[in-house]
Amino acid sequence: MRLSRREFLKTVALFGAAAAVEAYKPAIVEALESAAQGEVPVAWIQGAGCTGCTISLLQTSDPDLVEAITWFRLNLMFHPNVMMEPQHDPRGALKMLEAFPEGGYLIVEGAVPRGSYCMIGSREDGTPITFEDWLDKLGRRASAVLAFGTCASYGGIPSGYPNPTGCRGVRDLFRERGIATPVVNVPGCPPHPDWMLLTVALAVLGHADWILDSLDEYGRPSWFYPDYIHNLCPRRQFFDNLKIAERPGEPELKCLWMIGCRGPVTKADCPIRKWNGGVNFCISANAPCIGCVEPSFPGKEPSPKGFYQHVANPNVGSPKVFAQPFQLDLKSMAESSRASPASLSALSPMGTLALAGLGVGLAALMVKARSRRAKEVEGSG
Amino acid sequence: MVEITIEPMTRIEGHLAVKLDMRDGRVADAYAMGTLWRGLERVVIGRDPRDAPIILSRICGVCHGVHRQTSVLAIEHACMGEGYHPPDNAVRIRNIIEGIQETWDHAAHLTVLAGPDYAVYGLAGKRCPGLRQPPWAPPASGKPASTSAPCLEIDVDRYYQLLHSAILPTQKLAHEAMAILGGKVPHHMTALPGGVTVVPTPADVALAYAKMRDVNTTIHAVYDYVWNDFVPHLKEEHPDVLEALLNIGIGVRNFLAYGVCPDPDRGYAKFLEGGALFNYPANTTPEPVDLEEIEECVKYSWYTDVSGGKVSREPPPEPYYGKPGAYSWAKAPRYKGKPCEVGPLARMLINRKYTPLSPHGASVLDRTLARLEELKLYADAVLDWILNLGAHLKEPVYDEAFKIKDGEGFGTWEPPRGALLHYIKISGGKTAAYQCVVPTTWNISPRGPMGERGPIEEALIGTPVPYNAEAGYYDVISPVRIVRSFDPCLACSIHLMTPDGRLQKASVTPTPP
Repeated sequence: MRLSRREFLKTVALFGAAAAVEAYKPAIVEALESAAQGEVPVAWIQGAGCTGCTISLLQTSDPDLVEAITWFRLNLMFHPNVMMEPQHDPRGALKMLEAFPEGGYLIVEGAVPRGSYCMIGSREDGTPITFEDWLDKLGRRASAVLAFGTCASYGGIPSGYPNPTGCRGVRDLFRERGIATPVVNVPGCPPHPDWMLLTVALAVLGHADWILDSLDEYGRPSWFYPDYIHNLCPRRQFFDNLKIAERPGEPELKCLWMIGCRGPVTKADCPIRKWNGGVNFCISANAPCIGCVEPSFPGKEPSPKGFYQHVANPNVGSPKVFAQPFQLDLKSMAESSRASPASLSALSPMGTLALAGLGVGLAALMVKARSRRAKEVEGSG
Repeated sequence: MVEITIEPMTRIEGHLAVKLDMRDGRVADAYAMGTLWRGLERVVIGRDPRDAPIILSRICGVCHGVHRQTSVLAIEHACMGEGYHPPDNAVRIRNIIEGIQETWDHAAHLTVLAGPDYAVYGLAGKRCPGLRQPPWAPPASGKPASTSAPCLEIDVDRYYQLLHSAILPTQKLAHEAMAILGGKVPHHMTALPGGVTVVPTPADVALAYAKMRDVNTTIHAVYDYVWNDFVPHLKEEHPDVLEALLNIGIGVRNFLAYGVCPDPDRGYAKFLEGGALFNYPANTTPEPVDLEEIEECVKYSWYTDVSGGKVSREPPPEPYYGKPGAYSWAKAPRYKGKPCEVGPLARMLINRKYTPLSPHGASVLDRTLARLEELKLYADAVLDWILNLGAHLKEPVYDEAFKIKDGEGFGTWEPPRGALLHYIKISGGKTAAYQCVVPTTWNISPRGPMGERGPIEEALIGTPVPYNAEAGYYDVISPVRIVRSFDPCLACSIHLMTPDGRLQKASVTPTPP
């Protein structure tokens, strides 16, 4: 089935995906209309992962997975969970993976552990093939590797301290082995299905270069990770109005900043795109963001901060209305709030009264919350 | 003797290879081997205990909600002691999430994972004379069938059409309902020690109900079709095929379940009770479960002999690759020294909600049909639970008195795949020790102390595996069906690792007999 211009535009609109792709629409349509007749081979392999990314992909709608496969001329030749391997042949699945051709797209789910911590199949002589070897072999053949999920992108969950199996992302492996194939990271635990499907769609339509041009400092397409969740959050007004939750499960709508929300340090479009057909996202379910798209997830240093522990962060103090980032020095502000309001202007690059008002309120809140937290820690000791 | 290695097993969660020793065209011995280690229990050590549910939810992305739930229960037990319950609404919301999880997971297994092995019980198979086609069946593609029972033979074109028209939209609806209470799915975000975060509105409840109502309608239609049309069709038209399916994959016939979903409106009686049922069907009376009777054995696992033992006293496993006689990284959990099957068949038999078709009390088909039975049970119950939540919306969802305290605790639960146990030890406000004994470890376990096989290994014994001379390989569809009927989830079962472990595998390319 070939996708008409109208169908495609409808698809893009439904994806809502791209303010980004919006700009490229004419080019995408042109690409579609001149699309090659043959199918684009795509193989999906799993390393140290949990299959959550695959399950997330199944949640896509408009198009669903089957539509995407037919519309985008995507030949999903190997996928460990949904493939119809030759059911009667013991090595049928392996043969299909070995047939991955030059120039195809390789999708990787799961982190890359060292050596034999993860193996897929074995050679004719019986020696097992490590996941690293598969990535090396197929990665060199691929025209690009799409690393889906935080594990494949940066190591993710299994690379949490103390990283027991030496997990890292695909890019790290390619750097170690001098493999030049470009890697697109689509992190998330799991990633939103739109992020994955739109990335695949652009790649198989012959526009991997657009994706590569859009990558941010962490190798992510910046379309999907445009700004801090805090800045896009529907509860932002509760932060600005200092209605801030002090414990989980409060019945009123409040900002979750003090109970560990990683929104201020996490870039993703979850608040706008929302999850599972747009019904919800973590913060709307009153659950603090855990920063699952960030390279540092879930904490790679010893004794990382707990997910429900407050994280102080400069981004929180730079409301978007101000042109320059404003570093909020809470301690001295707390002191100055007790001293004279005049000294505030010396601390602030903007020095406006409005800002001073916000700063004083915030500082007071911080001090209050911190002393309460200290009490809690003692109490729970 | 001929050895066959099936690798990698597909359409299961995780990395698994199965080795079969063949004699006279039948499986004489079987070894199941996992090929991935992540060490997630190590990752939670030294962290805030409340992080454990978030990280361990990622043990598995298929039944994600259940590890979060069980970990939360273990922490609540450790901090607040025996008999602690968070506010009723928290329990209700957790039960609904569990109910949707079971519904989604069983439905996905029966269609996407195991479905193609049976051609989705005829739903997407080749058109078979005498079988009424359900209204949702896509048109037959007209390709000739190659077996005597075409309704069991997958028709890939039809299958993809069905995937598009029914399966994907239905599973998506279930996950949307779950996301209303969980924030996002997979890896929902709302359950935490002391309650849940989400405060549902009447609109949330109504939307979740509407979505699950739709799912329920579809599930009932499929359930009725399987029992009213498909199974009778097998009985009448293909009695030989039915008999074959009822005589393979029998297994150990010991069953274990911990019980699940305490109902705050019925004095915390469980929706499905736990129990241990030995030697079914000769014995049909389950006995109560004593967690102290669970032991992990390592005689045939690559760990030193001092590893293993009772869950709470178990030392961290000491890897010993190349230990004589050992062949697996999975440990062998035993209840009262016996291997036990866990999962929907175990729960349905212990709760007397399913009568096996096979005279042996278990078979590859019974395991699958018991899953369908439980699917309907949950799909019905979850609707009541959602309505009941709607009647209690004003109640709190989080216990302000909950505090992290030092101690140790167990959490037990029944994920779709069977009995799940989490153990946590908290000291100095941090996680000091963590153990999970997960369903697939029970099912996929290697031999135990007396040399007795694990449930999947036992279930494979005696299975016919004919040689296909034309294609040049052994036809392994029957062993593959048996392994998938247990719905193995490898990411869960092997969560431990070794510093420099290497898996060497004696894989012999099959030769004609």
